[in-house]
Amino acid sequence: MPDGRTASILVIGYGNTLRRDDALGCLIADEVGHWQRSGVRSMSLAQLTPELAAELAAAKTAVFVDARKCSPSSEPTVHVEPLSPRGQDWASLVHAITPCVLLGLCQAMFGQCPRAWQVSVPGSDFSFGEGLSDLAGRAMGQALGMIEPLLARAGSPEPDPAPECTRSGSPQAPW
Amino acid sequence: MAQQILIDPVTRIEGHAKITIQLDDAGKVSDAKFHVADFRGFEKFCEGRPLWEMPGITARICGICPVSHLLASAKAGDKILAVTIPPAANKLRRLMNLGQIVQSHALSFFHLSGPDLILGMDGDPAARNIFGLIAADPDFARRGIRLRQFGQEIIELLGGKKIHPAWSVPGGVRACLARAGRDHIRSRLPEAFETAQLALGRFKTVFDQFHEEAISFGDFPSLFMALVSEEGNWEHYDGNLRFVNSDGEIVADQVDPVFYQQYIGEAVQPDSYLKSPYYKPLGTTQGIYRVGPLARLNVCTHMGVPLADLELKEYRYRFHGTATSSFLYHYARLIEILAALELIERTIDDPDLTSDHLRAVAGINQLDGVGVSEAPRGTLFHHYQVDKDGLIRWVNLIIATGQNNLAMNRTVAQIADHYIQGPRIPEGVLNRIEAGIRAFDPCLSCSTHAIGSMPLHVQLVAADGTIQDEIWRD
Repeated sequence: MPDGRTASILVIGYGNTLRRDDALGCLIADEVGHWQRSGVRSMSLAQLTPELAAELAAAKTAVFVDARKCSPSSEPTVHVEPLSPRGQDWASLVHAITPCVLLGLCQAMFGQCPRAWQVSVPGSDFSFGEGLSDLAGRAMGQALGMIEPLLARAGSPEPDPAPECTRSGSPQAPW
Repeated sequence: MAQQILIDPVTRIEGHAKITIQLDDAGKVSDAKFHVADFRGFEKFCEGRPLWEMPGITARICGICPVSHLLASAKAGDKILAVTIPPAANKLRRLMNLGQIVQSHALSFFHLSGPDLILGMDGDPAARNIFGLIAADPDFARRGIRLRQFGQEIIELLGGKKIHPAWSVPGGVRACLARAGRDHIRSRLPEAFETAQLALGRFKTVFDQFHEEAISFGDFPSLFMALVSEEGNWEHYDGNLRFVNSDGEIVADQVDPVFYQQYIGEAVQPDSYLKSPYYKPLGTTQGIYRVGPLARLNVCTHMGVPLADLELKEYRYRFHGTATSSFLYHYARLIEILAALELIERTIDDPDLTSDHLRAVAGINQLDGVGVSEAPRGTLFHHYQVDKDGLIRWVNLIIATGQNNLAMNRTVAQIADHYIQGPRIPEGVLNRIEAGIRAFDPCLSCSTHAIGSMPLHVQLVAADGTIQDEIWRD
């Protein structure tokens, strides 16, 4: 049931914009939105909610972007993981939905779900307030640099197959 | 020996809570309590903030119903500015609240309570969830998701985002509805109507299977409170308060919400952060009242829109006027979805929605303001006092779930008393106790804001159950 607001590639950034580095997902999604790339829709959300399953069902590729807590002295290593739909560990669709459960919901409900990746971006300061830590600021640039070619390949006529790796950030990344 | 049954956590509700049921020596239910152990503190830490920040701050109380707080807060701000907001802003706020009612009720009915209603209270616990519902009836589940999506889209199209939109402000709103957004909403209405009517039909079909639940899920006399229009019709954003009793008699009518403190008292309990409001003229014991969809349908004279009015007529015929069972919150919720869709349809082509006159600008003209609206779960009060610079000096929030607290306790006790026979408690009974709470669709993150008024009771209990020491902090 297409509704005119669908896109073949969804970039879903989520987190609390008032908890400093937790805003990484939202800030990255907003930045991707500014690229105005054809076929790409970015969403900046406080949390994942069940009705996103309907939007995912109409997409071919989904990229979930979230912050990951690290120590301030960490290297700004961005992890990129392929995601699989999961429905067995369902507990609540209200407060604690994860990308995998959301994909599972999409698969179960619509019979299909997009190829999906989780981009985990390191942050160190999750206290109240706005503005990114040094670590998160550097990691945000790296994450955008990894998302851009990912979107380009996902949008090409014959996108690469889903990556085999479980974590990336290295030169061997499939994108 | 006396026993205590503990359900912790209660599942498929918004927030975290536990229930304790006290049995006497004979194994009969002697008491039941719904406890909310989360603490939020919004009423306290908002002190000192500028009035203009309040809608944005209080919207953060909840990720499910931020719009309700946004609107009640902005309305309290309107009162402090002493302005009449532009007609366009009024209509746009109403539209957003209707989207909120649709999305929140859809979540409650299809996703949180749907598994109980469609799969049965005694269904396999492992499958009694949204995935089980999908397996049993994928089209129904899919429609529920899309109905919620529709409501969320209305909020997003108006406020820029689905959750925590900083859109409604003291004096009006920040932006109008773009024409493309209006067209999108209009295009999705037919499917939404179809889903709402399908759900109503489905509920009526399965209702007869839930006779036991209908008579034991909080079926007791109480008062009901909600906003009504000047004509006494169903209202969701403005109007005045009406209280009715279980016989449908009006106890208080057209009460200006500004005077809520004359009618509503707020009690606190030692074992929960949830406040327990009551109808002040009757006191805490007799003054128990319910809010939300059940109450709104009981207090209104008409819905004010044709399809929902037909449904209300049938509903009242079925339940002989005033519906007293809390199980019927589900039914009332579906009628409200239909009413909300009819009002959206009626509003969507109003040229004011695309107007650019959206805000009345003023300074601080009053030091006290009360903003009230109907959240999906019931009447929501935001009451602020400010200094001459508009800095918040005092806040009182009365949340729907808190107003249903006494009724929820009574509901748990009634279900436990009805179903618990002897020491063995089947899982289905535990689920019914949770489902009794779920019928109210409580939002616990919203309803736990009191600070400084939480009496603390600490007991030192030995292994044999005897109390060795106890301390009270009032």
